[in-house]
Amino acid sequence: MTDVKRLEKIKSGKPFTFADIIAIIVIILVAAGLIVYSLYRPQGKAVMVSHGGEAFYYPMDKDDLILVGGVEILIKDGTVKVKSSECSDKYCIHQGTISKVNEIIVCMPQDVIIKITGDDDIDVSTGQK
Amino acid sequence: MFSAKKMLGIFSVILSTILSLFLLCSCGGDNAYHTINETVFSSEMYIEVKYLGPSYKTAFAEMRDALTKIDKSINKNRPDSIIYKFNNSKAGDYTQLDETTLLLTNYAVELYDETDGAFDVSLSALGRLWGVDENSLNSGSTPTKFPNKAEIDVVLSYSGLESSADSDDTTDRKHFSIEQKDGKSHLYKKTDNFTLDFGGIAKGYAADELLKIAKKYDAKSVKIDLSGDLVLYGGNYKEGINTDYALGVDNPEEVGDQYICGIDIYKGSVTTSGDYRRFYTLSSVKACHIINGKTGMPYNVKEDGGYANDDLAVVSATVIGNKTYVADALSTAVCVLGAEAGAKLVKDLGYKAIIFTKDKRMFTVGDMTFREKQSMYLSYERIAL
Repeated sequence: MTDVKRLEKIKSGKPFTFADIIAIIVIILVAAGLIVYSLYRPQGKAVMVSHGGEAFYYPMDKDDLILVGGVEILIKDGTVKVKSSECSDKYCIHQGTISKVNEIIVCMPQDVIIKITGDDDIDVSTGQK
Repeated sequence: MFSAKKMLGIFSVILSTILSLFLLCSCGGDNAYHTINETVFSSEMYIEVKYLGPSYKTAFAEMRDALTKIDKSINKNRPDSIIYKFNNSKAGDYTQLDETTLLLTNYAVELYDETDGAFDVSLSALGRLWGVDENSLNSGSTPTKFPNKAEIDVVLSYSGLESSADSDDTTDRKHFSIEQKDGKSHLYKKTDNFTLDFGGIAKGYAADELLKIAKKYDAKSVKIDLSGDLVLYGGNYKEGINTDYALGVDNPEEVGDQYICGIDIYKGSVTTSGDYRRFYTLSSVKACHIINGKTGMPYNVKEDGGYANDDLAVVSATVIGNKTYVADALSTAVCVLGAEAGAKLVKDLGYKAIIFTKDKRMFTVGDMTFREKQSMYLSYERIAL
């Protein structure tokens, strides 16, 4: 379709072709799917806290208060947030509460990364049967 | 209805949508595992197979046949099985063996001798006496008293795989022997009430047979879980990359979805025994399902005037190695022998082990890399062999 023809179409009050409409519907569906996925993303089981190249893991089903690199991290009722920090911008505190897999809080000034992880990354398990 | 051009436009939009959807879930092709997930052995066990490679349908069909054949030979609850016939025979009777039962009888005798009697497939009657056999534990009702010494001694008199006092032949045991009759192998019963239960090694043997089938069909990667007996082969294909499996060991102290430790493993057979899933508690003594053939008591129980739990007892023994049936027997034997002697035996036989005790010791045999994430094992005193 040439530009002139498209311009005429737009002027005539019918700006979309049938193919355009299908494309729009598909894009909306995919976007809706992604939103639904993010809403129903599984709740995390552990929280990874990394500082100075080292990573520590804490279970999320136990309430805890952790102090790492001048950042106070509160685990409560299966959610995680930064309670206090020695950094100047306090951006990590403003990032609020996280609880779902792959959600993340970063405190750049204190070199602290807090990330929610799934079921411990274990592929296979062994136990008494 | 539409012009050819329009049709072409619609067609290309649909095509590109389908293509992009395929790209989004590019979960397929050569790197997809095929799976079996069902109950086997007359529905008494479950199996999960993850198979990556060609001819999976043929391989799966052959695996199912192999399991049915083993079940028919050794399932003690199946009236048409060879073991059922033997268990219900009298002293002086001959029971004809097939290939599977002959092989497993020989394995059982070998493992009994190698573990100094700690692995014994003839203790079903003692299990029933203590109420720790499968049926009693599943019934949900707890016994009201433990058996006394006299009752135990009676059952001990017709239990045990010990060899015959007056013979050097390893197939000549105190309560039975393997005899040739009409050119065929037979089990000859010497003592009334003596029974065999291959449950312990049959599962491992079956898992080994399934792996053989997978290898025959050139499987690239296989994971077999036969009611807890785990066989890993060919590494783990994750998003197209061949890598180690992260193996989690269940936490014996807090049974649930927590792991006490995690290690990386590329291949091998893994089995775990312990006292934390099949047991009952009576007047604060915990009686578990594994019997010590020497004492006639659950291995975690000791006699001390009355009965008490052994504070040094193994709570979880994981054994890793080449043969599943050996790993299976060893994990049981470690519980009975105790952590230290058990760990030494595992080392002598070239297997690996991770053993936890009630008094918070942890024995490890062989090299292994522990994962950082599963760190509960750090609260145990580590003894590496």
